[in-house]
Amino acid sequence: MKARLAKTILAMFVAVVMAAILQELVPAFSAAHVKLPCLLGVAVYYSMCREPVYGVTAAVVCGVLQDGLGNIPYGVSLISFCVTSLLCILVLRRQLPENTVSCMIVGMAGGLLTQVLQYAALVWSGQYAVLPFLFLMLRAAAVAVVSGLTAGVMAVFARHMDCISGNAGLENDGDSFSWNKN
Amino acid sequence: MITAVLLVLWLYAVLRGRVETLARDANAPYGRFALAFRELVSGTVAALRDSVEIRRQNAALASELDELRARLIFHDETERENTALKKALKLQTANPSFLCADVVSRGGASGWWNVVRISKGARDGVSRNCAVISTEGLVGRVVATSADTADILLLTDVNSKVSCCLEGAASGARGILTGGGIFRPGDEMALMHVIEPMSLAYLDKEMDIAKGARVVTSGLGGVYPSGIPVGEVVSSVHDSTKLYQSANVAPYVDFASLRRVFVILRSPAIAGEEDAGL
Repeated sequence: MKARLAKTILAMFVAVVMAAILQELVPAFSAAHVKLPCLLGVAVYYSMCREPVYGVTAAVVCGVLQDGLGNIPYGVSLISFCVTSLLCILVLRRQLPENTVSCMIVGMAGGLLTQVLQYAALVWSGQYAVLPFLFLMLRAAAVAVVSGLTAGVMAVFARHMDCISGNAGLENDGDSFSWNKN
Repeated sequence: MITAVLLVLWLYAVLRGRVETLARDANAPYGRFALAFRELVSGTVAALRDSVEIRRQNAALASELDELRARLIFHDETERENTALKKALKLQTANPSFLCADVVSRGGASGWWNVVRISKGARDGVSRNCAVISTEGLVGRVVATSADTADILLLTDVNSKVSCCLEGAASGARGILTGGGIFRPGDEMALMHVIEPMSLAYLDKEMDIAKGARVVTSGLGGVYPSGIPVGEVVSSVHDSTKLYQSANVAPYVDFASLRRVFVILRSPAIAGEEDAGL
Protein backbone atom coordinates (compact mmCIF):
# COMPACT_ATOMS: atom_id res chain seq x y z
CA MET A 1 0.00 0.00 0.00
CA LYS A 2 2.78 2.38 0.96
CA ALA A 3 4.74 1.40 -2.12
CA ARG A 4 1.73 2.12 -4.31
CA LEU A 5 1.23 5.50 -2.65
CA ALA A 6 4.88 6.37 -3.16
CA LYS A 7 4.77 5.30 -6.80
CA THR A 8 1.59 7.29 -7.42
CA ILE A 9 3.09 10.39 -5.83
CA LEU A 10 6.23 9.96 -7.91
CA ALA A 11 4.27 9.49 -11.14
CA MET A 12 2.04 12.46 -10.32
CA PHE A 13 5.07 14.61 -9.51
CA VAL A 14 6.70 13.80 -12.86
CA ALA A 15 3.45 14.42 -14.75
CA VAL A 16 2.82 17.74 -13.00
CA VAL A 17 6.38 19.00 -13.55
CA MET A 18 6.32 17.99 -17.22
CA ALA A 19 2.93 19.64 -17.67
CA ALA A 20 4.08 22.87 -16.02
CA ILE A 21 7.20 23.03 -18.18
CA LEU A 22 5.24 22.31 -21.35
CA GLN A 23 2.56 24.86 -20.53
CA GLU A 24 5.18 27.49 -19.77
CA LEU A 25 7.46 26.92 -22.73
CA VAL A 26 5.16 26.04 -25.64
CA PRO A 27 4.16 29.36 -27.24
CA ALA A 28 0.52 30.40 -27.41
CA PHE A 29 -1.42 30.03 -30.64
CA SER A 30 -1.28 33.34 -32.47
CA ALA A 31 -4.97 33.28 -33.43
CA ALA A 32 -6.54 33.60 -30.00
CA HIS A 33 -3.43 33.48 -27.83
CA VAL A 34 -4.45 30.19 -26.26
CA LYS A 35 -1.88 28.21 -24.29
CA LEU A 36 -1.88 24.44 -23.94
CA PRO A 37 -3.66 23.72 -20.61
CA CYS A 38 -1.40 20.80 -19.72
CA LEU A 39 -1.86 21.23 -15.96
CA LEU A 40 -5.62 20.97 -16.37
CA GLY A 41 -5.09 17.80 -18.38
CA VAL A 42 -3.17 16.18 -15.51
CA ALA A 43 -5.84 17.20 -12.98
CA VAL A 44 -8.57 15.80 -15.23
CA TYR A 45 -6.76 12.50 -15.67
CA TYR A 46 -6.30 11.93 -11.94
CA SER A 47 -9.90 12.98 -11.25
CA MET A 48 -11.37 10.72 -13.94
CA CYS A 49 -9.11 7.70 -13.73
CA ARG A 50 -7.71 7.46 -10.21
CA GLU A 51 -8.99 7.44 -6.66
CA PRO A 52 -10.79 10.63 -5.52
CA VAL A 53 -8.02 11.62 -3.11
CA TYR A 54 -5.47 11.66 -5.93
CA GLY A 55 -7.87 13.62 -8.15
CA VAL A 56 -8.36 16.35 -5.56
CA THR A 57 -4.64 16.44 -4.76
CA ALA A 58 -3.73 16.83 -8.43
CA ALA A 59 -6.38 19.54 -8.87
CA VAL A 60 -5.04 21.53 -5.91
CA VAL A 61 -1.38 21.22 -6.96
CA CYS A 62 -2.08 22.03 -10.62
CA GLY A 63 -4.40 24.93 -9.72
CA VAL A 64 -1.82 26.52 -7.44
CA LEU A 65 0.88 26.09 -10.09
CA GLN A 66 -1.32 27.54 -12.83
CA ASP A 67 -2.18 30.61 -10.74
CA GLY A 68 1.45 31.14 -9.84
CA LEU A 69 2.85 30.75 -13.34
CA GLY A 70 0.17 32.66 -15.21
CA ASN A 71 -0.07 35.98 -13.30
CA ILE A 72 -3.70 35.25 -12.51
CA PRO A 73 -5.45 36.51 -9.33
CA TYR A 74 -4.61 33.84 -6.80
CA GLY A 75 -7.14 31.09 -6.28
CA VAL A 76 -9.04 31.36 -9.57
CA SER A 77 -7.48 28.37 -11.30
CA LEU A 78 -7.42 26.53 -7.98
CA ILE A 79 -11.19 26.94 -7.61
CA SER A 80 -11.79 26.08 -11.25
CA PHE A 81 -9.65 22.93 -11.14
CA CYS A 82 -11.20 21.81 -7.85
CA VAL A 83 -14.74 22.34 -9.21
CA THR A 84 -13.83 20.35 -12.31
CA SER A 85 -12.27 17.63 -10.19
CA LEU A 86 -15.28 17.37 -7.85
CA LEU A 87 -17.60 17.34 -10.86
CA CYS A 88 -15.65 14.39 -12.24
CA ILE A 89 -15.56 12.51 -8.94
CA LEU A 90 -19.18 13.07 -7.93
CA VAL A 91 -20.99 13.03 -11.28
CA LEU A 92 -19.07 12.37 -14.47
CA ARG A 93 -17.27 9.20 -13.40
CA ARG A 94 -20.66 7.53 -13.08
CA GLN A 95 -21.78 8.74 -16.50
CA LEU A 96 -18.66 8.40 -18.63
CA PRO A 97 -16.32 5.42 -19.14
CA GLU A 98 -12.83 5.58 -17.78
CA ASN A 99 -10.87 6.36 -20.96
CA THR A 100 -9.06 9.02 -22.95
CA VAL A 101 -12.15 10.32 -24.75
CA SER A 102 -13.85 10.99 -21.42
CA CYS A 103 -10.79 12.93 -20.30
CA MET A 104 -10.99 14.98 -23.52
CA ILE A 105 -14.65 15.81 -22.93
CA VAL A 106 -14.02 16.82 -19.33
CA GLY A 107 -10.92 18.74 -20.45
CA MET A 108 -13.05 20.82 -22.84
CA ALA A 109 -15.52 21.67 -20.08
CA GLY A 110 -12.78 22.35 -17.55
CA GLY A 111 -10.87 24.55 -19.98
CA LEU A 112 -13.94 26.66 -20.69
CA LEU A 113 -14.77 26.99 -17.00
CA THR A 114 -11.19 28.02 -16.20
CA GLN A 115 -11.10 30.62 -18.97
CA VAL A 116 -14.43 32.14 -17.96
CA LEU A 117 -13.42 32.37 -14.30
CA GLN A 118 -9.98 33.77 -15.14
CA TYR A 119 -11.38 36.41 -17.49
CA ALA A 120 -14.07 37.40 -14.98
CA ALA A 121 -11.50 37.69 -12.19
CA LEU A 122 -9.08 39.69 -14.32
CA VAL A 123 -11.73 42.15 -15.49
CA TRP A 124 -13.29 42.35 -12.03
CA SER A 125 -9.92 43.20 -10.46
CA GLY A 126 -9.33 45.88 -13.10
CA GLN A 127 -6.18 44.23 -14.41
CA TYR A 128 -7.51 43.47 -17.85
CA ALA A 129 -9.24 45.37 -20.61
CA VAL A 130 -12.74 44.30 -21.67
CA LEU A 131 -12.47 42.36 -24.91
CA PRO A 132 -14.97 42.36 -27.79
CA PHE A 133 -17.67 39.69 -27.58
CA LEU A 134 -16.75 38.17 -30.94
CA PHE A 135 -13.16 37.72 -29.84
CA LEU A 136 -14.25 36.12 -26.59
CA MET A 137 -16.41 33.66 -28.51
CA LEU A 138 -13.53 32.79 -30.82
CA ARG A 139 -11.23 32.36 -27.86
CA ALA A 140 -13.77 30.16 -26.12
CA ALA A 141 -14.02 27.94 -29.18
CA ALA A 142 -10.23 27.74 -29.49
CA VAL A 143 -9.88 27.01 -25.77
CA ALA A 144 -12.45 24.19 -25.99
CA VAL A 145 -10.66 22.50 -28.88
CA VAL A 146 -7.15 22.97 -27.48
CA SER A 147 -8.20 21.92 -23.95
CA GLY A 148 -9.86 18.76 -25.25
CA LEU A 149 -6.85 17.72 -27.29
CA THR A 150 -4.38 18.61 -24.56
CA ALA A 151 -6.39 16.75 -21.92
CA GLY A 152 -6.33 13.67 -24.15
CA VAL A 153 -2.58 13.85 -24.69
CA MET A 154 -1.89 14.48 -21.01
CA ALA A 155 -4.19 11.60 -20.03
CA VAL A 156 -2.22 9.25 -22.27
CA PHE A 157 1.04 10.56 -20.86
CA ALA A 158 -0.06 10.34 -17.20
CA ARG A 159 -1.45 6.86 -17.78
CA HIS A 160 1.84 5.85 -19.31
CA MET A 161 3.57 7.15 -16.19
CA ASP A 162 1.20 5.03 -14.09
CA CYS A 163 1.86 1.99 -16.25
CA ILE A 164 5.66 2.21 -16.15
CA SER A 165 5.61 2.85 -12.41
CA GLY A 166 3.53 -0.28 -11.93
CA ASN A 167 0.35 1.40 -10.73
CA ALA A 168 -1.71 0.17 -13.67
CA GLY A 169 -1.60 -2.51 -16.28
CA LEU A 170 -3.14 -2.23 -19.70
CA GLU A 171 -5.93 -4.66 -20.50
CA ASN A 172 -6.63 -6.01 -23.93
CA ASP A 173 -10.12 -4.66 -24.29
CA GLY A 174 -9.22 -1.27 -25.68
CA ASP A 175 -8.87 1.83 -23.65
CA SER A 176 -9.69 0.74 -20.10
CA PHE A 177 -7.01 -0.57 -17.82
CA SER A 178 -6.82 -2.49 -14.60
CA TRP A 179 -5.41 -1.03 -11.41
CA ASN A 180 -2.80 -2.81 -9.46
CA LYS A 181 -4.38 -3.03 -6.04
CA ASN A 182 -1.33 -4.53 -4.32
CA MET B 1 88.06 -15.84 -45.85
CA ILE B 2 90.10 -12.68 -45.63
CA THR B 3 89.33 -12.02 -49.25
CA ALA B 4 85.61 -12.41 -48.59
CA VAL B 5 85.73 -10.01 -45.64
CA LEU B 6 87.66 -7.49 -47.70
CA LEU B 7 85.15 -7.89 -50.54
CA VAL B 8 82.25 -7.22 -48.22
CA LEU B 9 83.98 -4.16 -46.77
CA TRP B 10 84.77 -2.88 -50.24
CA LEU B 11 81.21 -3.43 -51.38
CA TYR B 12 79.96 -1.69 -48.25
CA ALA B 13 82.30 1.25 -48.88
CA VAL B 14 81.23 1.51 -52.48
CA LEU B 15 77.48 0.98 -52.00
CA ARG B 16 77.04 2.74 -48.65
CA GLY B 17 76.10 6.03 -50.23
CA ARG B 18 73.71 4.39 -52.66
CA VAL B 19 72.08 2.28 -49.94
CA GLU B 20 71.63 5.33 -47.80
CA THR B 21 70.19 7.24 -50.73
CA LEU B 22 67.88 4.40 -51.62
CA ALA B 23 66.72 4.01 -48.04
CA ARG B 24 66.18 7.75 -47.67
CA ASP B 25 64.33 8.00 -50.98
CA ALA B 26 62.23 4.99 -50.15
CA ASN B 27 61.45 6.45 -46.77
CA ALA B 28 60.80 9.95 -48.09
CA PRO B 29 57.14 9.44 -49.09
CA TYR B 30 56.35 8.04 -45.65
CA GLY B 31 58.20 10.91 -44.05
CA ARG B 32 56.33 13.42 -46.17
CA PHE B 33 53.09 11.66 -45.33
CA ALA B 34 53.92 11.69 -41.62
CA LEU B 35 54.82 15.36 -41.82
CA ALA B 36 51.66 16.22 -43.70
CA PHE B 37 49.60 14.22 -41.24
CA ARG B 38 51.23 15.93 -38.31
CA GLU B 39 50.66 19.33 -39.89
CA LEU B 40 47.08 18.39 -40.63
CA VAL B 41 46.44 17.31 -37.06
CA SER B 42 48.23 20.26 -35.50
CA GLY B 43 46.55 22.62 -37.98
CA THR B 44 43.14 21.18 -37.18
CA VAL B 45 43.75 21.44 -33.46
CA ALA B 46 44.98 25.01 -33.85
CA ALA B 47 42.01 25.88 -36.05
CA LEU B 48 39.61 24.40 -33.52
CA ARG B 49 41.30 26.28 -30.72
CA ASP B 50 41.21 29.48 -32.75
CA SER B 51 37.59 28.84 -33.69
CA VAL B 52 36.55 28.51 -30.06
CA GLU B 53 38.48 31.64 -29.19
CA ILE B 54 37.05 33.55 -32.15
CA ARG B 55 33.52 32.47 -31.28
CA ARG B 56 34.04 33.52 -27.68
CA GLN B 57 35.40 36.89 -28.78
CA ASN B 58 32.57 37.22 -31.30
CA ALA B 59 29.94 36.57 -28.64
CA ALA B 60 31.58 39.06 -26.29
CA LEU B 61 31.77 41.68 -29.03
CA ALA B 62 28.16 41.08 -30.09
CA SER B 63 27.03 41.51 -26.50
CA GLU B 64 29.09 44.69 -26.18
CA LEU B 65 27.71 45.99 -29.48
CA ASP B 66 24.15 45.36 -28.36
CA GLU B 67 24.76 47.22 -25.13
CA LEU B 68 26.38 50.12 -26.94
CA ARG B 69 23.48 50.32 -29.39
CA ALA B 70 21.06 50.31 -26.48
CA ARG B 71 23.00 53.12 -24.84
CA LEU B 72 23.07 55.04 -28.11
CA ILE B 73 19.28 55.19 -28.06
CA PHE B 74 19.52 57.39 -25.02
CA HIS B 75 22.47 59.41 -26.19
CA ASP B 76 20.68 62.26 -27.98
CA GLU B 77 17.96 62.64 -25.44
CA THR B 78 20.37 62.48 -22.53
CA GLU B 79 22.65 65.04 -24.14
CA ARG B 80 19.77 67.43 -24.76
CA GLU B 81 18.45 66.96 -21.26
CA ASN B 82 21.91 67.32 -19.84
CA THR B 83 22.49 70.59 -21.60
CA ALA B 84 19.15 71.98 -20.49
CA LEU B 85 19.69 70.96 -16.89
CA LYS B 86 23.20 72.27 -16.84
CA LYS B 87 21.97 75.57 -18.13
CA ALA B 88 18.99 75.84 -15.81
CA LEU B 89 20.02 74.14 -12.64
CA LYS B 90 23.68 73.33 -13.08
CA LEU B 91 22.89 69.72 -12.24
CA GLN B 92 24.07 66.64 -13.99
CA THR B 93 21.77 63.75 -14.81
CA ALA B 94 22.94 60.26 -14.10
CA ASN B 95 23.00 57.80 -16.95
CA PRO B 96 20.45 55.07 -16.51
CA SER B 97 22.02 51.75 -15.70
CA PHE B 98 21.27 48.86 -17.98
CA LEU B 99 20.93 45.22 -17.10
CA CYS B 100 21.24 42.72 -19.91
CA ALA B 101 18.89 39.73 -19.68
CA ASP B 102 17.92 36.79 -21.88
CA VAL B 103 14.35 35.89 -22.72
CA VAL B 104 13.62 32.46 -21.23
CA SER B 105 9.96 31.97 -22.10
CA ARG B 106 7.10 33.81 -23.73
CA GLY B 107 3.35 34.01 -23.31
CA GLY B 108 3.15 33.08 -19.62
CA ALA B 109 1.23 30.02 -18.55
CA SER B 110 -2.30 31.37 -18.82
CA GLY B 111 -2.33 32.91 -22.29
CA TRP B 112 -4.09 36.05 -21.12
CA TRP B 113 -1.01 38.20 -21.07
CA ASN B 114 1.36 39.11 -23.85
CA VAL B 115 4.44 38.71 -21.70
CA VAL B 116 7.96 37.36 -21.86
CA ARG B 117 9.95 36.07 -18.93
CA ILE B 118 13.59 37.12 -18.57
CA SER B 119 16.52 35.59 -16.73
CA LYS B 120 17.09 38.43 -14.25
CA GLY B 121 14.96 39.25 -11.23
CA ALA B 122 14.76 41.09 -7.93
CA ARG B 123 18.13 39.71 -6.87
CA ASP B 124 19.71 41.64 -9.77
CA GLY B 125 17.88 44.87 -8.93
CA VAL B 126 14.90 44.47 -11.26
CA SER B 127 11.70 45.93 -9.81
CA ARG B 128 8.13 46.46 -11.01
CA ASN B 129 7.64 49.14 -13.69
CA CYS B 130 11.26 49.13 -14.82
CA ALA B 131 11.29 50.01 -18.53
CA VAL B 132 12.71 47.35 -20.84
CA ILE B 133 14.32 48.03 -24.20
CA SER B 134 16.12 46.10 -26.90
CA THR B 135 18.62 47.34 -29.44
CA GLU B 136 15.71 48.25 -31.75
CA GLY B 137 13.61 50.21 -29.26
CA LEU B 138 11.10 49.95 -26.43
CA VAL B 139 9.95 46.46 -25.45
CA GLY B 140 7.68 47.04 -22.44
CA ARG B 141 7.82 47.18 -18.67
CA VAL B 142 8.31 44.80 -15.77
CA VAL B 143 5.01 43.67 -14.25
CA ALA B 144 6.13 40.92 -11.89
CA THR B 145 9.38 39.76 -10.39
CA SER B 146 10.74 36.81 -8.51
CA ALA B 147 14.25 36.40 -7.15
CA ASP B 148 15.71 35.24 -10.45
CA THR B 149 13.10 36.06 -13.11
CA ALA B 150 10.89 38.93 -14.18
CA ASP B 151 7.83 39.15 -16.43
CA ILE B 152 7.78 41.86 -19.08
CA LEU B 153 4.43 43.11 -20.34
CA LEU B 154 5.03 43.74 -24.03
CA LEU B 155 3.91 46.89 -25.82
CA THR B 156 1.61 44.76 -27.94
CA ASP B 157 -0.49 43.64 -24.97
CA VAL B 158 -3.95 45.15 -24.95
CA ASN B 159 -3.36 46.29 -21.35
CA SER B 160 -0.16 48.18 -22.19
CA LYS B 161 -0.46 51.96 -22.29
CA VAL B 162 2.49 54.26 -22.95
CA SER B 163 2.58 58.03 -23.26
CA CYS B 164 4.24 58.72 -26.61
CA CYS B 165 4.79 61.56 -29.03
CA LEU B 166 5.75 61.99 -32.64
CA GLU B 167 9.41 62.90 -32.83
CA GLY B 168 10.07 66.48 -33.83
CA ALA B 169 6.38 67.42 -34.01
CA ALA B 170 4.48 70.06 -32.06
CA SER B 171 3.04 69.54 -28.59
CA GLY B 172 -0.24 68.28 -30.03
CA ALA B 173 1.54 65.23 -31.34
CA ARG B 174 1.31 63.50 -28.00
CA GLY B 175 -0.95 60.57 -27.28
CA ILE B 176 -1.44 57.25 -25.55
CA LEU B 177 -0.05 54.19 -27.28
CA THR B 178 -2.16 51.11 -26.67
CA GLY B 179 -1.17 47.60 -27.63
CA GLY B 180 -3.14 45.90 -30.34
CA GLY B 181 -3.12 42.87 -28.10
CA ILE B 182 -4.73 39.89 -29.67
CA PHE B 183 -7.43 41.61 -31.63
CA ARG B 184 -7.89 44.64 -33.82
CA PRO B 185 -10.33 47.15 -32.36
CA GLY B 186 -13.09 47.74 -34.87
CA ASP B 187 -11.81 45.04 -37.18
CA GLU B 188 -12.54 41.78 -35.44
CA MET B 189 -12.38 39.72 -38.60
CA ALA B 190 -8.62 40.26 -38.72
CA LEU B 191 -8.13 38.03 -35.72
CA MET B 192 -5.71 35.78 -37.51
CA HIS B 193 -3.18 38.57 -38.03
CA VAL B 194 0.18 37.69 -36.58
CA ILE B 195 1.48 41.25 -36.59
CA GLU B 196 -0.19 43.03 -33.77
CA PRO B 197 -0.59 46.75 -34.54
CA MET B 198 -0.50 49.39 -31.85
CA SER B 199 -2.70 52.44 -31.74
CA LEU B 200 -1.54 55.95 -30.79
CA ALA B 201 -4.76 57.66 -29.69
CA TYR B 202 -5.77 61.16 -28.58
CA LEU B 203 -3.67 62.99 -31.16
CA ASP B 204 -4.71 66.52 -32.13
CA LYS B 205 -7.44 66.21 -34.77
CA GLU B 206 -6.02 69.12 -36.80
CA MET B 207 -2.52 67.72 -36.96
CA ASP B 208 -1.04 66.39 -40.16
CA ILE B 209 0.45 62.98 -39.40
CA ALA B 210 3.01 61.82 -41.92
CA LYS B 211 3.28 58.15 -42.76
CA GLY B 212 6.58 56.81 -41.42
CA ALA B 213 6.85 59.40 -38.64
CA ARG B 214 8.90 58.14 -35.70
CA VAL B 215 7.04 57.54 -32.45
CA VAL B 216 9.06 57.91 -29.25
CA THR B 217 8.20 57.86 -25.56
CA SER B 218 7.28 61.22 -24.09
CA GLY B 219 8.56 60.59 -20.58
CA LEU B 220 5.22 61.46 -18.98
CA GLY B 221 4.03 59.12 -16.28
CA GLY B 222 7.45 58.38 -14.90
CA VAL B 223 7.69 54.76 -16.02
CA TYR B 224 9.41 55.15 -19.38
CA PRO B 225 12.27 57.62 -19.90
CA SER B 226 11.67 60.06 -22.76
CA GLY B 227 13.03 59.62 -26.25
CA ILE B 228 12.99 55.83 -26.53
CA PRO B 229 12.06 54.81 -30.10
CA VAL B 230 8.83 52.82 -30.20
CA GLY B 231 7.83 52.50 -33.86
CA GLU B 232 6.63 54.38 -36.87
CA VAL B 233 3.26 55.52 -38.10
CA VAL B 234 1.64 53.25 -40.66
CA SER B 235 -1.67 55.07 -41.08
CA SER B 236 -3.91 57.50 -39.24
CA VAL B 237 -7.67 57.79 -38.86
CA HIS B 238 -10.06 60.23 -37.21
CA ASP B 239 -11.92 58.93 -34.20
CA SER B 240 -15.66 58.33 -34.66
CA THR B 241 -16.35 61.18 -32.22
CA LYS B 242 -14.21 63.51 -34.40
CA LEU B 243 -12.61 64.82 -31.24
CA TYR B 244 -9.18 63.43 -31.96
CA GLN B 245 -7.36 61.18 -34.37
CA SER B 246 -5.37 58.05 -33.83
CA ALA B 247 -2.50 56.44 -35.69
CA ASN B 248 -1.64 52.80 -36.24
CA VAL B 249 1.96 52.24 -35.23
CA ALA B 250 4.24 49.43 -36.36
CA PRO B 251 6.75 48.57 -33.64
CA TYR B 252 10.48 48.67 -34.31
CA VAL B 253 11.04 45.63 -32.14
CA ASP B 254 10.42 42.22 -33.65
CA PHE B 255 8.69 40.69 -30.65
CA ALA B 256 8.55 37.22 -32.19
CA SER B 257 12.33 36.91 -32.27
CA LEU B 258 13.17 38.71 -29.07
CA ARG B 259 16.20 37.03 -27.49
CA ARG B 260 18.01 39.63 -25.40
CA VAL B 261 16.67 42.73 -23.68
CA PHE B 262 17.98 45.48 -21.42
CA VAL B 263 16.23 46.46 -18.21
CA ILE B 264 16.63 50.11 -17.24
CA LEU B 265 17.18 49.85 -13.53
CA ARG B 266 15.62 52.37 -11.20
CA SER B 267 17.00 53.72 -7.99
CA PRO B 268 16.02 51.53 -5.02
CA ALA B 269 14.24 54.49 -3.39
CA ILE B 270 11.84 54.97 -6.33
CA ALA B 271 11.24 51.24 -6.68
CA GLY B 272 10.54 50.95 -2.96
CA GLU B 273 8.05 53.81 -3.05
CA GLU B 274 6.19 52.28 -5.98
CA ASP B 275 6.08 48.84 -4.41
CA ALA B 276 4.67 50.42 -1.26
CA GLY B 277 1.98 52.06 -3.39
CA LEU B 278 3.11 55.63 -2.73
